[in-house]
Amino acid sequence: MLYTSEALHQLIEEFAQLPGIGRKTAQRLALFVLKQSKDDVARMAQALVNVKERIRYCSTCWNITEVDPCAICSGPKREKKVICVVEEPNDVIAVEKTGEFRGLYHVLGGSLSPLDGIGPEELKVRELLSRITQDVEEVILAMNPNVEGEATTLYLTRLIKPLGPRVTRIARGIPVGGDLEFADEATLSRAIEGRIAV
Amino acid sequence: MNLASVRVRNFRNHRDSVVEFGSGINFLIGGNGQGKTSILEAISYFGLTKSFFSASDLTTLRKGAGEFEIEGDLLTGSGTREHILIRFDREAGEKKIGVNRSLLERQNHLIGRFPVVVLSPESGRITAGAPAERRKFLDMVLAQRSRSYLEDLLEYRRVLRQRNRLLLEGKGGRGGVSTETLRPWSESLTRTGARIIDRRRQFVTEFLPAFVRVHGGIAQDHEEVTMEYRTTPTLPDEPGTQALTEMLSMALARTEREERRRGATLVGPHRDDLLLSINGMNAQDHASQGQHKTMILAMKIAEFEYLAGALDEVPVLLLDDLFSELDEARSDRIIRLVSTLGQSVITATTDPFFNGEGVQGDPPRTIIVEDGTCRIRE
Repeated sequence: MLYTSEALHQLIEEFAQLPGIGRKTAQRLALFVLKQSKDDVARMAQALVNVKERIRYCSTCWNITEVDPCAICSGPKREKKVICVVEEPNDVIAVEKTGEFRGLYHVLGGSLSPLDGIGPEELKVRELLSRITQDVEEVILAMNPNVEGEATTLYLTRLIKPLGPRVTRIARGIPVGGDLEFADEATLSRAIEGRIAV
Repeated sequence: MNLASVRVRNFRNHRDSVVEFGSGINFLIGGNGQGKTSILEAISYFGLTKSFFSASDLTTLRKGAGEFEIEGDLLTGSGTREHILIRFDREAGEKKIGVNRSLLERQNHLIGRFPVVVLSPESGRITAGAPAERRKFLDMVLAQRSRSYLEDLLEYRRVLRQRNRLLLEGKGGRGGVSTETLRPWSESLTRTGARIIDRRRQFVTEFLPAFVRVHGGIAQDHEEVTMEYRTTPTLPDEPGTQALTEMLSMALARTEREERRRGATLVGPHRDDLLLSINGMNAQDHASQGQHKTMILAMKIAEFEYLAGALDEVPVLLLDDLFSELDEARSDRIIRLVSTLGQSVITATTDPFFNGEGVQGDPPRTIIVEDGTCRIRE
């Protein structure tokens, strides 16, 4: 037997399930936990349980939240006329960090990908459409810049446009602080395609 | 671009071989199975990130070895020295590429930087084989020519797989997907597809005159070759992608019923062909062995000229087993022609015949390849 303790072995197995964690790292983490005080470990364990017990999905925007509706959906200062559609909760965090966007979100839960068995039914598409009332003036589609994100953008555009609001998509192009000469051709050509008048 | 040296470790039957190249013609001479083609394969990694010969890195790994390495020292057209290191690890199942000691995050970015043109016995499939071989020819040239073409191509393949999966769901009358679900994939397909078709037809227009001229120079009799890009919708006359996108979209709409029945996308650049003809007849069916060989050689030399003209770097010409069926007069003529093109590496089982007259550039260098080792013949 490799490990003299079944408990340690089990913990290593659990850590190894995490994304980006290999067996060696899992072993290091487990031994670190072993060295910590019992209080510290209990706090960590409780934090893990809390995530599952307290967090649920906002029934409006499908972002993760502890209260339903979530703080963004019920925020008094948020502009209710604009909905930004994203793929995952991570993307909400990313957009929020900018501090530029004061509207609402809608988390689809992924993008269209027949190869992974994901069609419109697997995403919160119907829920999105039901949110688009007369009060919504703009829907911003902020999908990932890949084949699946593109198809999702095209799909949603066709469904949302007839309902009235302006449909926009985030621009694709040169990262801020990036040098034009180092941008790859595909990025640069998309940036030129999406150029704006000054 | 000029290849100064290549070192291969645990690659095919080479345990650790170093070859230093001259800047003109380099002959790799040796018997069958001694490891001549392996050196060409190794060089082709610099241009294509993979072997021109086999699809998998695993097959080029020496028996019993855990990893192979290909290392190259190159001189660029602008006079700088570049160092490339490619390492494949069997256990990790992946390959890493470093240029000047920094790791390439996207390996595709190597393509087009150190262009190569390969002529091997397999190239014969371009004129004689199925349409897929000719599409591969177009894609290999254009991917080296333009990064955005390569990106479009990868994107197109992904969209195609996604769309085919959807169509497959409805195959044989099993329900099938709704038009709304299929539509975004069709739109992506036509948009990317139109860009690819447009680049390919532009290429044919630019490439054809060089092909005809080079072919005339080699064949030396009155054979007339042409090539034409064939795609499902009739190509619109106006340049650009807009009209093409519309045509493709209409063609797609027309075949949708059939696509659903067969569970596959039936129009688009993945179904196109490059029609080659000789004296007005389809080359695939009507050309003789010798005519095929001459056409291939002409295509490859024209490819070399095209890339040399379009890129900052002159490609390295890799010729595998070129002289096996050529008479002395022809091989002499071809060596003289190749010597005008810059650097080349040529494999042969015996010294090819040439009388040395009219050979340009650096004098040819001969490298003896024997049982996985290489040495320069003085």
